[in-house]
Parts: sequence; structure tokens; C-alpha cells
Amino acid sequence: MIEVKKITKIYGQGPASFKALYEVSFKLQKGANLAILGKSGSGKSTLMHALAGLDRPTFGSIIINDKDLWSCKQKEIDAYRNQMVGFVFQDFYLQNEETVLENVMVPLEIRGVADRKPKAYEALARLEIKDKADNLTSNLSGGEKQRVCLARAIIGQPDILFADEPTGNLDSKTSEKVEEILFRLNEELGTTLVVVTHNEDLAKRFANKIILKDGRIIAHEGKELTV
Amino acid sequence: MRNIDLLRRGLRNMRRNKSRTVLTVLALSIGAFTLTLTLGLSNALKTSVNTQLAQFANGVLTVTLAAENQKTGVAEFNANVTATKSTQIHGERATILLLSKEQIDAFAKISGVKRVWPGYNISAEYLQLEGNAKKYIIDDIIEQSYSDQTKNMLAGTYPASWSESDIVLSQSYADTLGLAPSDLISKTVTVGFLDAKGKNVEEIFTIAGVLKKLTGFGPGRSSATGEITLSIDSIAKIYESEFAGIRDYNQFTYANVLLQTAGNETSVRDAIAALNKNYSVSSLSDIVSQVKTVLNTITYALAGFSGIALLAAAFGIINTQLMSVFERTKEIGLLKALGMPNKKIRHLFSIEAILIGLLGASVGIIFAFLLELFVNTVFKQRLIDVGFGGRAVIITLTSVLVVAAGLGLLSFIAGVFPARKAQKLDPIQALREE
Repeated sequence: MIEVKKITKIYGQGPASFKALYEVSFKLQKGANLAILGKSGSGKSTLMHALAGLDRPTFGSIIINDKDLWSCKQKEIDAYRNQMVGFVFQDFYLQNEETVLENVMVPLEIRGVADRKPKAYEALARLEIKDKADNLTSNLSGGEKQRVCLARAIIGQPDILFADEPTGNLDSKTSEKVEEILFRLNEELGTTLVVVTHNEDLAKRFANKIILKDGRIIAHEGKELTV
Repeated sequence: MRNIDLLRRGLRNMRRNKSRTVLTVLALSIGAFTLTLTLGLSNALKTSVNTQLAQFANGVLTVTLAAENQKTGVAEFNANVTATKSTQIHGERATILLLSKEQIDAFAKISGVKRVWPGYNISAEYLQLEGNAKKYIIDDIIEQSYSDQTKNMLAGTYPASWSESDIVLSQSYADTLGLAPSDLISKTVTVGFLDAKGKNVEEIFTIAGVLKKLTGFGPGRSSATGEITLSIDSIAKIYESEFAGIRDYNQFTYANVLLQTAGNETSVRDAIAALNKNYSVSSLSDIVSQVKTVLNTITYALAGFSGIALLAAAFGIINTQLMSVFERTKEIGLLKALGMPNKKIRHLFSIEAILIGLLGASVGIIFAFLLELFVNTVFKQRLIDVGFGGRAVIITLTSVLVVAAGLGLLSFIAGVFPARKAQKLDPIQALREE
């Protein structure tokens, strides 16, 4: 379960400071899916970065499986990012000079796993892109890149999968395919899915939603979500 | 992340930025090349000096008698003191006094002393081989050595126990006479010299051996130098004949003291000093120590110049690694976002810096080896002639390890700043970096 307790994120200091999030609180059941909606600058990405252990909130706490994430030592936060969380980026952030296989294996490489190829092929097969394993990522289409990014996110079998505008850079047909994959992973593997999106069609498919405005939750819905 | 994976990533990044890596490696290799060569030259020089010093007897002390040093001005004349040598030592005038026979004989009574003899300064006029009408000049008379000369022999033997009739000739006589050195062995030679009254006196000796032409600088290195080696007793006999009755007879500039064992040196030195505080004692170990000090100073000075080249190259590493951090900001951000600890990010960049350093060291060392091979092969005979023992550069495993470890360490230190910069990057900001 993810429990967010009054988190506030302030950027900058003094009169120039800016509150990206203000006392945001909610609870999300394990294995649920959640769409975080809102306009640009509403605090969606900031919230997700805080949840993913990438950006420390100024105040408040985030409890993941009964543990306060931001009270942990840096070593534990690193382990959380590497082992419990998978991340899908809008801009993919793939290493273009490396092959698909090498890109997918990075989380296991960081974890210190020696025999990582079988798991990488398994993840690529799940994303139906195994045949591209030896290609350089620079030679892939946008949809293929996003699938590689997804394969990289799930190779470590994370408990929570975060996706930041996962279909933002894709055409509608490819977007549909990526969406299918995301929900399939949520259902088949029981992975908690947290997605930040502008896309209303995508948002409709989520069982739980929160809408942010000026760093606050202004609306929410979903049975597995408590605000 | 395992160290092997850090190493692989480091190598991959070096390949990715080939041109920059090659240029930085080249800059480092110049420093490594110079340093390896400096150490190689120093080794060759030390080996050459040690070889040449080994020709001199170890376990023999040289004793002189120093007068009070005159710090300023010209020394006052003293009719009772015969100043044989007046020179400037370390900016001060030093006067060495002559030693009397009695003073020298007193050294023989010291425990641990095997033999004592004065520093005879004799000369001879000519040498004539039996059955040969021609006479040849004698450039230098050398007294018997107590060091092992076996490997310096061209023919015959160097007498282990010298008799008054023994003589050892230098190779130059065999060359001049056009005879095989072995043909000279057991033949007799006549040595002629002038006595104190200017009358020609002759002594007959039997050739025990022929010494190889010496290498390096100094007497006996030229084929035109005629040198003979005689026993101390023979030299003493010639001295009597040449100097008896003239001024400074039985007054010597120095005395030789042969130790029973090299371990006695300290106690004998102390005993000599106890006889007269103005006795000055020196030995081969002093010379070796002084030569080593000079050689080490030269080596350090040359190594210092290489150090400057390496320092410049170190800035090249800093620049290369900083560029790498800037170019790979997104990659660093991604690795951090995926859970790579800061420590490992730092290690990644440190490993890259060390790899560049080791590669630079390897290239520099390889080029130094090639130059060593070239110089030592092409100039071999010339090097032997000037006393370098055929090798002007000797690159040892120790030198290689010192250069490699030094460059590895230097590169590591140079990589600390860029590595820390990479470590401090915020993952979110790094990912957003354009």
C-alpha cells in the first residue's frame, strides 16, 4: 500500500519560492492502478517523483509497505528505486549507443546480477520486442522505444510501476498498444500502476484517479483510493 | 553494480569518445615515456658506475692527513709543514699534509688491519719484451688489486698471491706487439726506470696475465695507453730506488689500509681517528655513496621534469572527465533514477580516469621499451666503448610498475573532481538536462 501524508514540496527560498505540492494526502491499495491528472504545473510529476523516491518532499511523509520512504537512509532509497520501483519515462531515456538488450538489463546490472540475459529476454518477450534485442535503440521507432523502456521498468519485477506521460510521444495506434501492455502488467503481475497523464482517453481506463490543481487534489475517484 | 560491470561501462565510454580518449592517452603517454626513459637511463648509469667501481678494491681504506682549513685569505707559510695539496673544498681552502712512514706503520698495529702500505707515486721509462728489440713507453704503473679481476683477464691469471717478479700487462701491449695475449704469458719483460741520481735501472718481470682493455672513462680505456700492474712489494722496491735520499723521501700523500674483513671498517676508522683527529679516512663505500647521491639527484631532477609533463596530462584527464560528465548528464541521471548509489557513480568515473591513466602508461612504456631496444641494439659497440656496458637504457620491472602505479594514482586523483561532480548530480535535474 502507498500512503501519502500531507506532503508539501516547495522549490526555491524566500519570496521566489514556489509550492509545487501542498499538503497532498491519499492512500492507494496494493496492486491498484491510479491516474494522476492535471494541467501543466499542477504538480503531477512532482508528486510522482516524490512517490518514486526521486525527489524529497519538503514536508510530509510517504509510507510504502509500512515504511516511511523519506526517513530511510540514501542506501535504502537507492534500493527502493532499483528493486521496488519501475519507471517509464515520456522521453524514454535510452542509451542510443547501446543495444536494446543492454538498455533493458541496466536495473539488474545496478543490482549486481551476473546472469541477467534470461530475465531481459523474458521482459522483451512480454513486451513482444524480443526480435529487436540486438538492435541499437537509435534504430527503433517511438513505440518500440517505449516498449524497451517498459521492458527495462519491469525486468526487476517491481511492486510499483510509475509512468510519466507514457503515450505522450506516441501516435494513437502505438499509444493503444502501450496502454494495453501497461494494464496487462497491472492485471497479470499485480503491479501497482501509477500513471501521470494529460490523455483523457487513457485516464478513463483507470479505476482510480486524482486530479491536481496548483499542487492540491481537487477531485478524486476510485474504490482502492482513499483521500 | 559489480566492479566488472563498472569496468565494462568505463571501457564502453572510452570507446564512445575515441578521439578524446586517444588524445588524453597520448598526452599521458608522453609523460610516462619520459619517466620510464629517465628511470631506464638512471638504471643504466648506476649499473655502469657499479661495474666500474667494482674494478676497485673493496675493503681498502685511504687515509690522508688534513691540516687546519684556512677559511679566508692565503694560508701562512710554515717551513715545518710541507703542504702537498692546497685546494678549495666546499668553498674553503683545505691543505693536506704528508704522512710519514712511521705514521703509516702505526696503522698496521690496529686490530682488524691486514696490511698497510703507502701511496707510492712512481713512474717507469719503458717496457721491453724478451726477444724484442723495441722498447715501449709505460703510461701508468698500477699496484696489485685486492678485488677480483678474474673476469677482466684476457689471458693468464691475475695472481692471487703476488710475487715480486709478477707483472700483468694491459691489452694494449699485446695489440701493439701484434701477439695473441696468450702468447705473452710466462714471457719475461724488462722494465726500465731512472733512479734518484738519474741512472737507468732495469728490473725483470714474468708476465702472469693480460688484462682486457677497460671500458668507460679514465686511464687504460684507450688502445694507445700502456699500463702495467706490479705487486706492492715491487712498487716499494722501485720507490726506494727512485726516491731514496731526495726531498720528501718516505713522505706520502696518503696511505692504504687493507681490512681483514669489510665488517671491521667502523672499528678501524675509529682507531685511526683516535691516533690523530686530522686523519681523513675514505673508502670505496664512501665513493659509492657519493656517486649514488649524485646519480639519485640527477634522476630525481629528470623525473621532476617528467612529473611536470604528467601534471599537464593530469589536467587533460580532469578536462576529459569533466566533458564526459557534462555529455553524460542524462545517463548519470538515468542510472541514479534506476537506483545506482552515488558511491558507484563516483567509482564509475574514477575507474574511467584510472583506465585512461593505465592506457597512457602502457603506451608510454611500450614506446620507451622500443627506444631501449633501438638504442641498445644500434649503438651497442659505441656504448661499450664509452663504458655503458652495451646498454644505455635499462628498463626494469620495478621501473615499469612504478610508472604504471604512479600514473594510475595520478589519474585517480585527477578523476576525483569530475567523479564528485557526477556523484552530486540530482537525478531529476540531470534527466531534464538538454
